Amino acid sequence: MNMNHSSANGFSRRPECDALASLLVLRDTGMLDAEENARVERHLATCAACQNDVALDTALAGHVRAVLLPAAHAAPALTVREIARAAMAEEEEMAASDGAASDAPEDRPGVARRAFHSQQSSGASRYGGLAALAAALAVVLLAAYIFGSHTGSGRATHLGPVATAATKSPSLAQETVYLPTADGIYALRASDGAVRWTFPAGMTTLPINSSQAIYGLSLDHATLYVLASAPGYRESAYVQVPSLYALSAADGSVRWSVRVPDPAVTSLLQVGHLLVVAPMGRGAHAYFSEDNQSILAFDTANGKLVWSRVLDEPVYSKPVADGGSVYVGTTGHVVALNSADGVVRWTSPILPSVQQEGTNPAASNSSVALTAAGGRVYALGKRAMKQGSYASGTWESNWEANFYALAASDGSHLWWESVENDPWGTAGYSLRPHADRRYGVCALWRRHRRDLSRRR
Amino acid sequence: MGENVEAAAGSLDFGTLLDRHQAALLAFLRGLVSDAELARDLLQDVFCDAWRAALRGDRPFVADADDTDRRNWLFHVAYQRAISARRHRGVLRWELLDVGPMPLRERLEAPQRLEDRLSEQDAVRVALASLADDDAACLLLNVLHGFVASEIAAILGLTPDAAKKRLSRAKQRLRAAYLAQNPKQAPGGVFV
Repeated sequence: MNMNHSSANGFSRRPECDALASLLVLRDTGMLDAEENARVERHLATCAACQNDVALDTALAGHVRAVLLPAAHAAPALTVREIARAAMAEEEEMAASDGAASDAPEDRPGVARRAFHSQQSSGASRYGGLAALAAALAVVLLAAYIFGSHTGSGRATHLGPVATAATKSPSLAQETVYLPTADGIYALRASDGAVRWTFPAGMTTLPINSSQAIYGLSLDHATLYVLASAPGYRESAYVQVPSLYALSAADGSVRWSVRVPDPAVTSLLQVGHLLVVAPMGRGAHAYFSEDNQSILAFDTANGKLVWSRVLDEPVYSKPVADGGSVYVGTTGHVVALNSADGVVRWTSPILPSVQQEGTNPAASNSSVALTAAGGRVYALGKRAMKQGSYASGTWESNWEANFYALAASDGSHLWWESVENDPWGTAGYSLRPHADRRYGVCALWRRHRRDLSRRR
Repeated sequence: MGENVEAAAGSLDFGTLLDRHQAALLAFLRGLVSDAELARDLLQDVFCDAWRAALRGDRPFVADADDTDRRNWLFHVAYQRAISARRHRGVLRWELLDVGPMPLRERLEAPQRLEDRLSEQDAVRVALASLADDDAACLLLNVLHGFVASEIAAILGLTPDAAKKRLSRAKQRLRAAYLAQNPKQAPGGVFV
């Protein structure tokens, strides 16, 4: 009886091959005893299939070494001083974090703690400061969520029951936390959460079903700039009416306010003496297509409109600024404007345009995230791609997401990388530079949240 | 702080320890976590652990301890940190912005050779990433550093027989995982 069988590669294999397979792979490891070694060599002398496997294993081991060892030797070497600094910084960080409400430590990317990539002199104090900020925020937010905690004479009134969550991240400066909520701003003392002032004035509790929205805050010395929106009528249509406010950071009094002549704006960016407001494609007014394309800049001194620019495509990102330019991502481009006068410096294509074949014109969940640093603009864009058609009943969608590095000087593409396909469809991307500006992070927030929930 | 650092390092020649083991540990970590930046973070964490142990006077970071024990300790801690990182992998992905994966022009001008090389590296990394933690560690300790069963066993807390079986299994699975990605092409021109 012929016991031989052929493998996929055409070599004839014998039952002995399988019996010896676990020893054959150890041939060059120094782990075979004399008897095992003799069996392997006798078999190899007569078996072409196993000779091929051994050669393949040898080549593969060489490739593993070729991939890993040179890279390790080429990497900058750690020094004793760096290790000591990192160890001490970690200990200080852990000590400062004791007792403070903090999320899982693994949420903090390890790269942020690496001594030899951070500014050496600032490492320990920086993390100590972050821990203190986290502790202060925890205190304030806890106070804000405690029912009616009046704390006796001589102290300001704390918030009553909180019916709606904060709408944006709180800002902390000068020992005050500025907490935007669904119906206004609370300025809270960082030490104990006492209310210093509110905007509008006189709020003590938060009503349910408020329709007002706080889109953005910017704190500049003694002034808090707020982009807020309230329901109103525009051309007989019931829409959100956004306004810009300049509030005294000390007491919340209004220094000036202006109505923004574009109901679609939902983001605020301060660039020197200008307040740049822009729409985002996924905002409440995405259906006003003509309203999603305007960028406006107001003077911080008096709220006067300095310039406005209507772009060719709807804006899909928050604006960012660097080196005298403001950058926004649209449905198909990154656009650079002079921050001084709003003149378009360049446009650079990123995602496929909505007019392009195969893209989804609705694209309600497409997005662009931008960051600018060091003469470069980094853009993370994603778009729904349509395949088939509703008419034929074969409509399907998937996602194209790419990460681009553009030259800030002319928008030319330096490099790009595709990002893993988005398995959840509507997940949001975020992009931010690391403190030393050598790294960026893009995170699928839904995956992040899922992971957090799993750990709890 | 500098003087304190030097003084603290004085009881143990920490610089020599770093010089002797960091490249090997980094290669080991890179193989386990498939991410160069994460591997470098973990490397620092390993040596921070060692630093603290040395300050406390814990073995094997004392003057009369064997360097082999120190090496085994370092690899063991690296392994523990790497498998912890592997479990949390995928939450955040850090990208190097300065250099970028590859300039677009270069990629377009020399696509064939470059793509082949990158594809080959990717295939090896993917094959390594498909291995179980213990299997990958056994394979890397042997392939990269030539450790035998007794040394691998000491680092990973196994018996020598178990280390040998896992290495055998790891090499067979690595080969299968590699070939599964590109069944027509084997490394080094070996016919498949």
